[in-house]
Amino acid sequence: MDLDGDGIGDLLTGSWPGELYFFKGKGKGEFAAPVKLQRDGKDISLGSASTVFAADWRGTGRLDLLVGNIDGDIYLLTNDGGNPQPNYGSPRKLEVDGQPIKVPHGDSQPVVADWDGDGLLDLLVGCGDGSVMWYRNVGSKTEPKLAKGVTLVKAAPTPNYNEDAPPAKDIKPGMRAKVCVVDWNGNGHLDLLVGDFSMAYGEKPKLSEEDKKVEKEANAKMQKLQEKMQPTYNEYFKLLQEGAKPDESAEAKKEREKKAQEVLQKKEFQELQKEQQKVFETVQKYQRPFTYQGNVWLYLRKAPSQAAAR
Amino acid sequence: MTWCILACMLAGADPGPTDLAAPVRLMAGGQPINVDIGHAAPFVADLNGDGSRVLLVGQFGEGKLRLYPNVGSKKEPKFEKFEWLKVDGKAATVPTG
Repeated sequence: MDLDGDGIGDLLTGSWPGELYFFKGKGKGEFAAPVKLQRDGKDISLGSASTVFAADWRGTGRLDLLVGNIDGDIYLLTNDGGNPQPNYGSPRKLEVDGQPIKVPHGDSQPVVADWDGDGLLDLLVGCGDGSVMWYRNVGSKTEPKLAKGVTLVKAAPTPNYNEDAPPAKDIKPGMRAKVCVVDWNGNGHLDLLVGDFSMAYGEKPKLSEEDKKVEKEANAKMQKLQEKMQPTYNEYFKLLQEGAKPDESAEAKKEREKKAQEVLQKKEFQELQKEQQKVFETVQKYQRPFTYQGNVWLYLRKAPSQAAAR
Repeated sequence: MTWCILACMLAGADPGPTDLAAPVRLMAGGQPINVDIGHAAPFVADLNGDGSRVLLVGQFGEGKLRLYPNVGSKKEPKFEKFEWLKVDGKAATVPTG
């Protein structure tokens, strides 16, 4: 997308802390160092795990911003003119039937495209549970109105450790869907790319009788250590909560957190933590190894003949 | 009967917006694309302004972005190796925590 209107494509990204980054395109695939997008001289940040998409949402000829976050909201920041730094309006949540959108499991990622080819821009959203929702625009070019969400891609099963989890080669689409709408195969129909996050488990190691004994002992030791450490954790949380006030100054908050932290820095506790780490390494050796995965899945729109044959 | 003809006509006119084929994993160099610490975020763009498309995939690991040039055709995209998105010769990053 060409955010600054200089005819060269730029890049926009969100970030884990929440700020939005603008990489100005210099042409030939080169980009300038990123700068944070601002509104009224302040960095725009609408919640962590931010995602952003620029589109002419209201048919003004200017690129508005749609922003998602960890809470599953979709914010619209209207571009009210100005170049090269646009004036963004105050963020407001996009709604369906008067209710702000909240996508399942948070981590919303808005994308704008005319998904059904009716000439109006629709909203598609990648969701924390791995699903992809389509909110059809039933309004007009200048006054978009969103219909109730339709599920394009179903949610992924919760990726808990269990004995039946498939090995990496049989992995299925995971959670935290990130969507790209594109005519992948150049047949004139829009398709979906969906990036994800999942965990792939390896084989459970074969355990000898001796291994099983060591594993059992390690598990018991782990529990004992946990019990020994619990009072310190309780004290830490108590100190952390004590004196917390909504109008507390930044310094007072810092001081309170420091005081609580000191409890965890005590020598005896640090030693228990070290021991726990060691035992944890032993316990882990006997479990199925896992790796974090981030794959890209292609969902082609079915060809007319395939769709008719259903 | 009328209903069937109508349904077939509608279906024949355009694949329905919810009619998606089963997902397949995108590959690069014969292996599934799999980014560091997961959280793949794909995008397709013409970065050079010459009509050739690049697959961009963001990742959690160090907040970096991969560029996979299309070594196939427009109708059958194909990928081999990736490069990091660079700014001033260094891999560009955004904060991840």
